[in-house]
Amino acid sequence: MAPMYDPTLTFARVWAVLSPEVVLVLTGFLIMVLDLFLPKQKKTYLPVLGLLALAVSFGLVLTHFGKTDQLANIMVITDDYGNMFKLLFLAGTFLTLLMSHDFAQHVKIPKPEYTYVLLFATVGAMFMASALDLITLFVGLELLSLSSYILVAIHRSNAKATEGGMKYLIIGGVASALFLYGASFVYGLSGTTNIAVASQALYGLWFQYKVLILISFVLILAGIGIKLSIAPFHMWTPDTYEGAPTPITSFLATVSKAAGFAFVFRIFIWGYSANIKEWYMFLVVLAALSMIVGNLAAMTAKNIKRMMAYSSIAQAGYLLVPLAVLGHAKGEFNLWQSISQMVFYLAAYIFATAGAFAIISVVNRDAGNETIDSFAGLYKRSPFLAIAMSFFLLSMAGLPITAGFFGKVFIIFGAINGSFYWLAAIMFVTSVASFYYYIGVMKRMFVDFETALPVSAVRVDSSVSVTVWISLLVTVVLGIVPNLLMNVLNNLKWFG
Amino acid sequence: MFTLLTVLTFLPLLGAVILFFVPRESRSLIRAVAFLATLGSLVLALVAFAGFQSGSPDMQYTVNKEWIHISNAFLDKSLAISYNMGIDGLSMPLVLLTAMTSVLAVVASWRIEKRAKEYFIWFLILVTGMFGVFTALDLFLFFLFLEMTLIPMYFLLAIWGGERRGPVAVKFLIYRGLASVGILIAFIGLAYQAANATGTITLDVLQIAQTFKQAGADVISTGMRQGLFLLLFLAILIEEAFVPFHTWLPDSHEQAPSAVSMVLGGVLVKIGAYVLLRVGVGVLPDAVQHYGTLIAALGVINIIYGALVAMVQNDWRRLLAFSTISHMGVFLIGLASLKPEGLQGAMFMIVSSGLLSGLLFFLTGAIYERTETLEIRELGGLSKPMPVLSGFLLAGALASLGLPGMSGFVSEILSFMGAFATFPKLAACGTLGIILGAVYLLWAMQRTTFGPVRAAREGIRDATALEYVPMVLFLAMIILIGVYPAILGDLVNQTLQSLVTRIGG
Repeated sequence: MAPMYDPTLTFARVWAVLSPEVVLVLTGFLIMVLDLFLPKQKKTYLPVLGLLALAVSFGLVLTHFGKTDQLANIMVITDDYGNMFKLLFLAGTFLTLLMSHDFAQHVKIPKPEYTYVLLFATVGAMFMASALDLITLFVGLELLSLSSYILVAIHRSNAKATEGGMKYLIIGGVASALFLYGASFVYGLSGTTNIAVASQALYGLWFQYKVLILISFVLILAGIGIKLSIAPFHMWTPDTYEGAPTPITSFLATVSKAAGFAFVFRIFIWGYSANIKEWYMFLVVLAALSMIVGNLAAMTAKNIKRMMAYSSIAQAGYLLVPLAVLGHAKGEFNLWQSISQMVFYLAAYIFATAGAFAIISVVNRDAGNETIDSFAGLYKRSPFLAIAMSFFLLSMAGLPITAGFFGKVFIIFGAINGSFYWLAAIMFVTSVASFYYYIGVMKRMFVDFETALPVSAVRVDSSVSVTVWISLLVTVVLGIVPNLLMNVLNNLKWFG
Repeated sequence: MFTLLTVLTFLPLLGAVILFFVPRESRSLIRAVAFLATLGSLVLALVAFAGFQSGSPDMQYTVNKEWIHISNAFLDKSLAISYNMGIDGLSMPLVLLTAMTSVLAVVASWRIEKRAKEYFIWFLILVTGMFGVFTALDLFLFFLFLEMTLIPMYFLLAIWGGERRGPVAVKFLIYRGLASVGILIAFIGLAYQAANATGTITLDVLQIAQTFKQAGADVISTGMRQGLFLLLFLAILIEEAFVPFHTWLPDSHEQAPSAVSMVLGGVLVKIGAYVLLRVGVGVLPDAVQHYGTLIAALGVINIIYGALVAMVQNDWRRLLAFSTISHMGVFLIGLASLKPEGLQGAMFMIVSSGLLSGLLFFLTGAIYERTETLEIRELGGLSKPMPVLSGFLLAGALASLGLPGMSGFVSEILSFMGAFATFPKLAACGTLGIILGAVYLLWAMQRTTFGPVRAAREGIRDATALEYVPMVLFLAMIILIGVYPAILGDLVNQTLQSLVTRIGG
């Protein structure tokens, strides 16, 4: 259905649809202004303001559940699908900002800028989850990307960070260009940028312009594949993850990636769904490739952040499986199932990753390097961190009593249910192979006491403790009673 | 929810959680918590044993609650994973064995000083995993507990093992991990075949067995059954350290601390045997029958090969590991016979071998503490300074080679009776193993305990009061089963009968 053009764009309408985003944007500007007027020692409280805004925004998103509304002028919709993703983004950013508090005490980064740029990046991600129009989508994507470039390179005196930021900027620019080029084909064929309208046009023109439509599909997939860091578009990931400040790495691995997935589902399921049988194999191949490449490369990594980068490539592969499986879907029922599986796994992945990066930032600083060996004997230095880290690693590896395990179980069952046996098998085998490097980190923490470089106890800032505790609780609770979240997901009215 | 089995299974885990908050320095408190947690489980296991209806083949003390709901697992139907526990004649003896071995292993760990707190935490997690494996009736739950035994064991080997602990722990992890994967795939296959046949998905092992029994060859093809069994069997060969996948077991035993060895040989290596009985014979009896000769032949190979290799070992722990492999070969031929007495012998062999592992690995640990070597060449004349320990070692060796009046004899007799009835030629070859067993054990005993005493060992102490506890208890159980086999036979009989009636039916 084409949305009605609504000539009166009142604040009330904007607030009704976009209240969570509005809160974040206004807080961002407020912090900007305060940054100019506040005395230096007061500025340390600005990140707290950011945390507050995120919490308020989270609450506002919760009030939106079960309603659908749209803002026709800027083509933004609010529905449960977008709301679910917004919750994940806000949680991811909240944890990022929380762990940054500790990080910023030791590394000279401008806190106020850092905070508001992070808020703007989140707003970009939220737009990607709720836009209904290619232009709005692109604006959201760019807002997220530009903010991310700044954040990666925000530690200006560090050569590695600058290099990572530069690489990310160039590759990100290419990604945006690819997406735009692909979107231009859609516009040229259908004469509209509204995804819902365009999808009908694409369906009608399929036989006539099959090649062009497929070209547009591949271009958009390549552009967004870079954001998702799926193989073969993953080359930037290890360098950028290694160079970026650790909290920002966490942001890239959680929020930025989740935004990409929100976007992929929205555009491919809405825009191209009519001909899913023709293109799902692309996704299947990319999923399989990501799982294989990511896990194999992670085994060779010496630097923990690089290892996490490769691991996140593999995780992106797992996350693509539910979407790829839709090629065999028998009904709408399967679509809701697939989205639920993906969102569940994404939740498991986001909390495990954020928790792991919070620990990584502390441990690396304590050891003075970023190798995996910096974890040697961590159990002796900080039992709590070692045990929490084990849970996060096990969740990513997909071992029982963690959220990641059930996330994988749901996805594998979904793949088998769609009779994609070989894809399920690849997922299973690569997951088993991934134990090698996840357990390798555990081995260093618990076994290698002799080679432990720092022998004193790790000092853990309370902000990191809280980050780790939140992540740990979610990881373990969802690992014991996954139906807490799964039942909610299964009963959502995703697209109204 | 808080039924007997739940408490029994999770009490050690609760102990591990409590231990986490106990300061590292208070070693006596740490030991007390570990001891009480395992002792509590032992008491509960005895309570369960006292109230066990041995006349009924059904599951007892059952608890069944839906735990996780997956809405479209297969054919767009939903799957419920249940917290489904219960014990019958197959699991009761093994639960008792686990309870006893774990308490005594805690006693044997009394002197652990290196990172004691972590040691007991890992150990207690491992114990919960072992209890869970024998009490879970849901395939998924079973697998969860199986994984719960894997990781703690890896750390117990990797941190508290001997000189080559690192590589050996990794080897253990890889072998057992592969076995777990194989078992998991076989389970999934079984569940799907059953779901295909009935249209409802269940992971309850008893229901799956029922489905397989009722479904004709047109519903679940014979080829599929045999394929699934072969996959399961292959996984169990690794899990159980059968030739040719046995190399991880001697290595692990050689490197593990003696208390860990007690649990490894006493319980952990019996999990595969239990799965073979519960799932192999329970769900796929036709396939077991079809491959009976193959299984029995493998059993005979294990008996002979284990015994021959044990003969040339120079380290007591490796010798005992190969002796275990040889014993479990007897289990295989008993099982392959599918005769009531053969299956009973197989069950006896699991328990007997478990008790013997517990006793002998405890003894070798005690000797190692005093002599700092277990190389048979380096030992000699131990009966002079340590008459008690040597005496118990001799008793253990005699039980191991099947002296009448001990548990080993009963197990071997029953297994071979079953085997002779089904495959006489193979069984005849297998009996050679009994002779070989006598040879390597007595020869090793003779070199260890007799002969001249080394000057360095003149003044070493004999067994302490604390060490008497495990030795006496294990030996008492071994002799009890030997002279009064009915105590175990009555437990397992009904369940085995109901298994046997399925065969060919």
